[in-house]
Amino acid sequence: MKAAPRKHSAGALVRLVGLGKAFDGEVILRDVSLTVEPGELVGVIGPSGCGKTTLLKLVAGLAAPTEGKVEFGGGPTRRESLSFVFQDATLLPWLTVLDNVALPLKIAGAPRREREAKALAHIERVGLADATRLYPRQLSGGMKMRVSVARSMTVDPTLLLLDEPFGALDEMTRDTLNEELLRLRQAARWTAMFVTHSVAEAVFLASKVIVLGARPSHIAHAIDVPLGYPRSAATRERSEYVERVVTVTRALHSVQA
Amino acid sequence: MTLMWQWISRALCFAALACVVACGPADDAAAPEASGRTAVVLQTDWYPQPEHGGFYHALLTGGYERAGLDVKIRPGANMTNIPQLVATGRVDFALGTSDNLLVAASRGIPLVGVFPHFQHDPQCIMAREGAGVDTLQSLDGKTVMMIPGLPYVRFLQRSLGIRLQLVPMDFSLTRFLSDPTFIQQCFVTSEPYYVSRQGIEPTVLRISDSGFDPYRLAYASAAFVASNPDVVSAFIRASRDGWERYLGGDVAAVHERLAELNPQQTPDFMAWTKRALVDYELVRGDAEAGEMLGRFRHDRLERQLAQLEALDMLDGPVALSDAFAVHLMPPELAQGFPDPLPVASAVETDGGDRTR
Amino acid sequence: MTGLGDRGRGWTGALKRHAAGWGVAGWPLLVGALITGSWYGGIVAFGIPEYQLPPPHRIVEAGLEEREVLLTGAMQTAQASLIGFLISVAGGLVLSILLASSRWAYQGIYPYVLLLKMTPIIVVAPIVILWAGQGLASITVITFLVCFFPIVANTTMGLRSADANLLDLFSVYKAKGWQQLLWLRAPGALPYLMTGLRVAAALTPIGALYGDTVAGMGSGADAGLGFVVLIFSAQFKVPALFAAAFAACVIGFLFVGFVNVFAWWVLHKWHDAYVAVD
Repeated sequence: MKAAPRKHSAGALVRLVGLGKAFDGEVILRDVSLTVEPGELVGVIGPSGCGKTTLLKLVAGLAAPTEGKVEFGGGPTRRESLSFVFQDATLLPWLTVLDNVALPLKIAGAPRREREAKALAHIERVGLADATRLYPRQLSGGMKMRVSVARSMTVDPTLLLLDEPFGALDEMTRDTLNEELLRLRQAARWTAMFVTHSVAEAVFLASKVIVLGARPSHIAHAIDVPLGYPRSAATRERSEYVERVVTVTRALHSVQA
Repeated sequence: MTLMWQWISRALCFAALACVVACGPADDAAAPEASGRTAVVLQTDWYPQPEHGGFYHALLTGGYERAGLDVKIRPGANMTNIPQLVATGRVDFALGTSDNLLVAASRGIPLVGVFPHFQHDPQCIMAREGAGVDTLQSLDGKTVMMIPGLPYVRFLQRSLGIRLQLVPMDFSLTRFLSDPTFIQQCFVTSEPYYVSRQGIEPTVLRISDSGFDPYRLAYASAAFVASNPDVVSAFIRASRDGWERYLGGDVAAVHERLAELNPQQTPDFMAWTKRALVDYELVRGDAEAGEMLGRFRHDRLERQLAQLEALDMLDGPVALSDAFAVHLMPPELAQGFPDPLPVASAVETDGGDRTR
Repeated sequence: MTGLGDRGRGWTGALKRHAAGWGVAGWPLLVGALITGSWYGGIVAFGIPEYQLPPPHRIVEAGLEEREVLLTGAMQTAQASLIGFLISVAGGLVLSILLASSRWAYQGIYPYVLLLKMTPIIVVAPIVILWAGQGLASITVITFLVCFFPIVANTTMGLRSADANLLDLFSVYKAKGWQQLLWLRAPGALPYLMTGLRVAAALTPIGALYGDTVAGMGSGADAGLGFVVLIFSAQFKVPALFAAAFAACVIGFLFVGFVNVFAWWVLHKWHDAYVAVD
């Protein structure tokens, strides 16, 4: 089996059924249907302004669909156990790294000792053990994103949503962070749906790449990435990887033309 | 901090500008008009009211005009800087009190009294029955609304040995009418009328009964008096004549004009005020005590000076003959002044007035 | 020619070096000296009499002469300022939270806050005195009315302008309303609150002084600074008036200075605007 392992074969983790969204009468998304199986990493790519972020927000429950629905089913997955990594690091500037990472637990009502211990563990996992007492303004862009990722991990999510998480970073940092993200996944085994505008990033992370068409967007192509996990920097040199990059790029060009 | 600096520097710029404007050439010599008359401004101390009746009489019936003056009367309620306006030549004459004139003169503001239109100040304290006040002495420990810092306020406290809680004057009767224990300053010729119309009979205590008894007067700057003796002299005569005629009963034209200028004043009110001016002998004073309309008595002024000195309110020496334009007055109006007027001194210095 | 050029460069260079070194204290002192110089110069050149613009040394003299009156006056005014300020901070915070709590509250109440702001204090003051009586209570209320609005306006704006992504973050983790207010909107509003406090602090002594002139009370020696100003004014003590203005200035400085230090203490760790200052 080349695809991701399927622990919860009992059913899909998330199912999008005929999802549509309109703002002020203008239709952004139309009839998006998609099933995300447990363990999958679904990358969403498409021309800019095609509603990728909107799609993610519908799944997260941050916006309500005008048509269709988002179903969480099969097993323990509910909206409660999802986590979101925003486009910018979206840290609270008045909190230290430690407190920022611990924030979701604080909201959930965890006692201070427990949440700090847990937050510290996640901070160490993203390699920021020395920075726990620093404030966001003292961090570089890459460090801020690491904090953001660590924060999303503290709630032990079953579904992780990432909205162009490393889009603002330089390519080197970005590649490194992508590799780290997959390393984290090896340990935690979350399912993920992420939005990106980089074909290379989409193929490197995803088990399946969804290409959205121009507005009003719908799913134009769904392309499987037959590379198992774990993946590393070396994965980028494999021919399957390069092939898929070419395939996705062509698909993207076809919807833009 | 930067904000504060900005604020200060702005204030300083403004102050500097104000100075340049203020110190523009102050023209001491009054300019003759095309008509041949001299234009002068008389700044009063309140809205147009019967307490200014004589001046308006001279204005409305041509008294000033015949004296070669083109007078403009400018009302000014609740202004504290009138002496400065006179001293800097922005207005030529203004109304005030002799005690304040002496205080100002002692602080180097060169003012000269030219014509006392009131022999006694109508300034009073009035109290509601609930205040438990029947004499000035019984004001001890009370809260009184009056202009703080005026000489008579200090005099009351020092000479009567009483202590007052002062509240700044808001020049309205609202609180007096709503609070049955309220006490405030007033003009005996004005506020009691309104209060009694509301069914309240106030206790009215005259400040002059305390022994502090200034004139209410018209004054000019020393520079103006020095360079316009004829104008000042004409102003004194015409104003005196206006007051004589106004008190003599020729009130119709004046009251009609006052009602136009200040419509809140009814004919009834103005008649009442005018009667009060007569009944309390405010304008003419007590003839038996040697007082008459428009007269300065040297002994009274000396006494005021001594009182102010005792109150620590004078910054420097004041020469009465410099502070009052006695040499420009008709001799009978300057009583008891020593030197400059040979006629006046010959007649008056032998009198017993000065020893009082 | 070269020599001249060099000398010129050296001179400006030296000036620049000095500017960096003594900029904090030096420039204000230099400007102060210039102002004092032109002050005396103007008095001599235009022959300005003391009752219009007293020379600085006369103001200092008058200030020393009247120091007891000025000191008690300043203490009284500072006290009224402080009480009025603290009440408006407390009241302003409560009202701001109410205004930010819902769109309904904001749209319903804010117009009346504006109405209160638009009503000139000169009109309101006599009514305040009728209700609260003469003395400290009224002065405090007048001070409160003067500095209440900037606090409410700024804090409400701060509470309402939380970053959209941060709001999304809180909804993703299912934060309750009070958690959002306490941990997101309130800390985010702190820089706005500090701006409001700074504006209010500068207005506070003005409110207290004005309150003093209408609602003050005293027998002459135990009154607030505004009352003292009335007395000096009635007695034509112009240099003392300038000294009183200076005393009022000092109170303003202390207030604004204190708020600035407080704002720095609250914000310097995380707020960019305060990074350069320390």
